[in-house]
Amino acid sequence: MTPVTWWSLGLTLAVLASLVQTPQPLVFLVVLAFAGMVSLGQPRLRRSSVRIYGGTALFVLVVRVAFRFVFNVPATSQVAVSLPVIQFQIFANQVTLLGPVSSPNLIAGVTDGLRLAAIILAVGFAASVANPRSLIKSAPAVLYEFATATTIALNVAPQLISSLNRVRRARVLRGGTSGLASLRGVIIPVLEDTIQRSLDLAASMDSRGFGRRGAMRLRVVYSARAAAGIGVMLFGTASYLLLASAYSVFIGLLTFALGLVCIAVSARLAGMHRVRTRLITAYPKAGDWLVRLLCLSLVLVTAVDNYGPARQVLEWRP
Amino acid sequence: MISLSQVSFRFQAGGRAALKDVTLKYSAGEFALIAGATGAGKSTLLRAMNGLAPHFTGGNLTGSIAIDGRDLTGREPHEFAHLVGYVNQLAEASFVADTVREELAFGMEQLGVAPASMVARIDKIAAALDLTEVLDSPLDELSGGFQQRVAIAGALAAGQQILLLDEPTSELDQAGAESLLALLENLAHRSGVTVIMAEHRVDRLIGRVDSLTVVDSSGEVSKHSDAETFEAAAASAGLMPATAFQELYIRPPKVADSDPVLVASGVSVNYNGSKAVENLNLKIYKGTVTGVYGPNGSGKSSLLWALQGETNCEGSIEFRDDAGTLTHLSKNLKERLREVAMVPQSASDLLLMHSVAEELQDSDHFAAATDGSTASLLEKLVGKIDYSLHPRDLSSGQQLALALAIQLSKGSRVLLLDEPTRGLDYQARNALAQQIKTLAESGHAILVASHDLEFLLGVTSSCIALENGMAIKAGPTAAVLA
Repeated sequence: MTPVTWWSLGLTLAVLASLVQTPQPLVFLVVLAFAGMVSLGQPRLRRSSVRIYGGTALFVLVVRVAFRFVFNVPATSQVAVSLPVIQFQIFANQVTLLGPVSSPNLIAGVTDGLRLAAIILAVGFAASVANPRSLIKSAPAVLYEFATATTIALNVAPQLISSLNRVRRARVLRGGTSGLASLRGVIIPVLEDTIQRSLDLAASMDSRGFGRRGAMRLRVVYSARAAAGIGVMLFGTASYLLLASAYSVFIGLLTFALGLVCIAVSARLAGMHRVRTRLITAYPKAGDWLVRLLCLSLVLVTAVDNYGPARQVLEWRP
Repeated sequence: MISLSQVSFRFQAGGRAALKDVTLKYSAGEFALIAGATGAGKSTLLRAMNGLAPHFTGGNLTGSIAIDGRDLTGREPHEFAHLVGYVNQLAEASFVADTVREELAFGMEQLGVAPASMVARIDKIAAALDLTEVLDSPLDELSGGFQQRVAIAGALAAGQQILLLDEPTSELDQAGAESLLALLENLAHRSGVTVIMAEHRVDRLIGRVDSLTVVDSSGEVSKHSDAETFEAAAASAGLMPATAFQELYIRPPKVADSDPVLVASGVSVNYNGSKAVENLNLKIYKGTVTGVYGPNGSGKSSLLWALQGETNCEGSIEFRDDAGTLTHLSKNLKERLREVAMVPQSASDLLLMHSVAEELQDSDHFAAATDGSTASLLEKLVGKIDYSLHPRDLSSGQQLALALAIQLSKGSRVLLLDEPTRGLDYQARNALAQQIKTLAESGHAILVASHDLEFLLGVTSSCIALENGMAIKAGPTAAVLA
């Protein structure tokens, strides 16, 4: 399956977890996401994702439950665990800690914790099966420049940290000099490194053909620009129509859709002169579409099941 | 293959010519070296051959450049991309992708190579450059030598027949540089690629290349194709050490009867769960220069930082105080800087003021020394320089000397130098050797960590060779580095 499909699966689990109200399905989701992470995750990412996501999920669960014990309104009935009450005063405020914990309170805590844990594990599952960076790579061709910029930014971050560390250690060796000069002494070398590095990278990319364009008729260039301009104007009008209550929502939405079409046409025209090819293009297969469709319907059904009746009640009561 | 005719280049209109009326020709399969002192336009000449000059460097280029008889004057670098591959000094800084395979594909994607033939070409170039094993490895997990090979493979993957390299060996250790040069020679002579590289370290290349192009600081360029004449041409341009480096510098005598001023015993440094330095013993003496030799990543830097006391380590480090007794390094930073001085790998990181004068004043102030004491030390090292200059406008040799003066003005008699010759040309390197000698003669104990074999042979009397954090050899320099 393509990275996009894996991520829609993972995010579906996360959305389901946030919609579900009872602990049993949450336990199921937690187990499912964790099992997926362990069995399907890429070997290189598996160990660290189990540690990071599994650890965080467990920590969140424990904290949520512990909070129910510590910051507890002492229960009078349905007591599950009985603890002594601690009371003291802070600035004339009475503070109560611990005390008898009721079973509904405890269950609410466990449900909360399980929900957050399931969301964390679902994202962890997607991230360990399909590296988020591979998601960037399956971005449509129109977004290629954006995707490249993002990958580079992700690659530059560690370099920035290592030059910061290097300069900081050098500062220690120099000794003395505090305040503004010291700050300048850190910022200037780090900036110099970063700028130098960006220039090197740009030179290397240009030398390898980045920014190449094929031949393109002038008429096409102008049409693409005109379509983009009209699209932006339509977006502006649409947002006014939608936000000002005097106009029909339908006309607003229609204008918005027209704007979208114009932008799509412009991107398509502008993309015609591209000479670029891709080494790996992950085309979604029938299976991908089936999984995505199932995910979508699962989310819709759960959402309607949760909010549908409630909304009706709200709307129809006078 | 590639020819330049009457090419001139100026960074500013009416300014000094970086290249003056250059007419040159490189043929297919030629292994060519462009040499020149730092700042003498050899990178500019290289970059003119794929449009980076003037499009990236700024400036004004006249004359014409042709590849395979096709005039490409004034074109932008991406229009040269299918003909010319360019590899930057620091391979790591040119990477766009996460894994080797994607990096090799990047250039071909830009050129519109069909995906099927892309796959075939990646396999071919990976086999040629011995990268098949690491095709799916993340780039940041590769060693410097491997990264360099990936950059070369990326530059040639689309079938480019000309390869330009800017100082390809400067970041590599001896063994890495040797294997890279063998590989480039192979590319030229077996695969018929025209390989043109700019380097300021000429001596180890001169016996291998087919031609030597010398760029002098006035912008005059001369090309020599007769191997017999290379040495004379390089020497007359001041690019060769006049005689063997060892004879040029008389090592300061080791004061045999003195006690060590720094004693490290059983030093181990942990880094990310592994041992960067393991159980090392070291003594350095007054008036001597000691070397620490080893390939990149062998623990040289870690050792120096540990000796300075900035890195936590096991074992003990003692130094001889003014009273003559051995005591542990002080925990207090200010105290410790008076005990052991260190200049890190990029010396310019130590400089942070707006002018040399301010640097000197700040240094005197911190050291609580009389005004002008740092300045007199600096003058002893490099002579008079303009104190109103911004420290970043100094040459790298001058920056290093300024850093040395500032660090030593704190009063320490022990000096640790981490890779001091990095980025220095012959002249600056010779000057540094002279400065080290001056300091040793005035009674300092100096420890130099470097992968520059020649430099260590020239300036140190004894040496330790490190490998994977362990001392594999120690003793008189000539014996250890032989």
